[in-house]
Amino acid sequence: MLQPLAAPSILGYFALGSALIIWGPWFAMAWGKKSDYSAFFPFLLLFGGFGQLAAALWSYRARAAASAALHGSWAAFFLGLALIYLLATVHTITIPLRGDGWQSLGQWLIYMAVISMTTAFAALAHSVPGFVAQATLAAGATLGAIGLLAGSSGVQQVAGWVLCAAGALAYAVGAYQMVSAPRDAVEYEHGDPGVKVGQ
Amino acid sequence: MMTTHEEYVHQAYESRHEHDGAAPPARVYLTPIAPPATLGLFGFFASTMVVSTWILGWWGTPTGSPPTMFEIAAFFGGLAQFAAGVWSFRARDPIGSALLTMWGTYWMAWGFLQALGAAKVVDIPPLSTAQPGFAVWFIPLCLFTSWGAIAAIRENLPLFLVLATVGAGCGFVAAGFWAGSPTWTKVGAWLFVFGACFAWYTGAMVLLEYAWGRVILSLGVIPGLMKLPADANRPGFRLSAPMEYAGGQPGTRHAP
Repeated sequence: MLQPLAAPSILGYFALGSALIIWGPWFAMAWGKKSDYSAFFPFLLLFGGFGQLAAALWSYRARAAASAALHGSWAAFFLGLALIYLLATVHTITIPLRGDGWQSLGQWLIYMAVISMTTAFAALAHSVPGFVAQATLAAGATLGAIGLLAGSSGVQQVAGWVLCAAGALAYAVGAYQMVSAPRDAVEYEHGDPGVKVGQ
Repeated sequence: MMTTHEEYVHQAYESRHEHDGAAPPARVYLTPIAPPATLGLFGFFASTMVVSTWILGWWGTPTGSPPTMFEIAAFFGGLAQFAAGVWSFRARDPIGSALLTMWGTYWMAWGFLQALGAAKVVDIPPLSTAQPGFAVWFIPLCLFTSWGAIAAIRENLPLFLVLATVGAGCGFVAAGFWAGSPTWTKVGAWLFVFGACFAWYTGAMVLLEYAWGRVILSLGVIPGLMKLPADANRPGFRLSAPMEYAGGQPGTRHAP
């Protein structure tokens, strides 16, 4: 029994893109103060985190394996990063200043890069734009890891902009998926939502 | 006098035999989903690599690193892996549903412990100090992961290697934390590093075979011992023929 549903990766790409477009340029020191994470971490937590997680879990029913792995992994990353910023905001932990070295976050970005490159290769089977967005994301994570492990603010700046570019590409892929209707969706147009496409 | 339950059973039995004497036909619905194991294995891979390499002293400091390390582990190795384990019930995967869920709960529990340590509610001693209260965590993890390894002998070699190395690693780590022996703990951490690399391979192997519709990374099948055919080791081999309605929405076909 096959059950159709709306593509969860639209939400996933929008949530990923939104988080990256905010965090990437801030990480690149293009806007705001070093302590501005206290203001934007709730957005990372709820949209980049829970929004993407919802998309990832619905991707199982959508039979979208790359989407489930990509959005599930980055959802967890942003949930954790937001918790770090929350704990730093309430002075439970101390985090390095923006632009300085940060070993543990650099370590996480190594493995996020490996995972993103793996999901990018999987996405290539169905979607070249999806591959480009995810490969760019992997490149940004790699540069971020190098910048944080080496303590190089210059590499971190480049990494932030590459992550921002990945966010823009993710937006574009999500936007394309939203307007590209399936060729021949099975529906009963007089029925309730779920029986027909849309509400 | 019959009880309510007995009346119900009696009426149902009589009703069945009044019609055609046969039991009503059972319906089995099979609904395909994307493989949940990949997200779980990726969460395990990343979290285990970060923490194990820290234990091995490859990076960071003994007390300075955990306060900014546990948060992503709690969500990636924890919540995400737990969710993948729960979805594995729908995938009819007894190994994934048990072990991904169990390891997800471990990482969430470890994150919770580290959070209490960061808040100075509990004292987390260094690796060189005996910690029987933490060592005992790894006894059930060792038992169930090793049992999963035995079950995986019928599945594929990469999954068996994940569970065998991690199960053995749990034994060494349990002994290391119980005795306050960093040497034993580091032997366990080395096994975890190998297990994490096997976990990435297994997750990527499943993901790429599903996405491309053919074997990309060898599935590591030992012919005769494991359920899959020997051709599953050959890149390019079409292992499955999924039911799809090509023009439909996601759910009726494989989706990006």
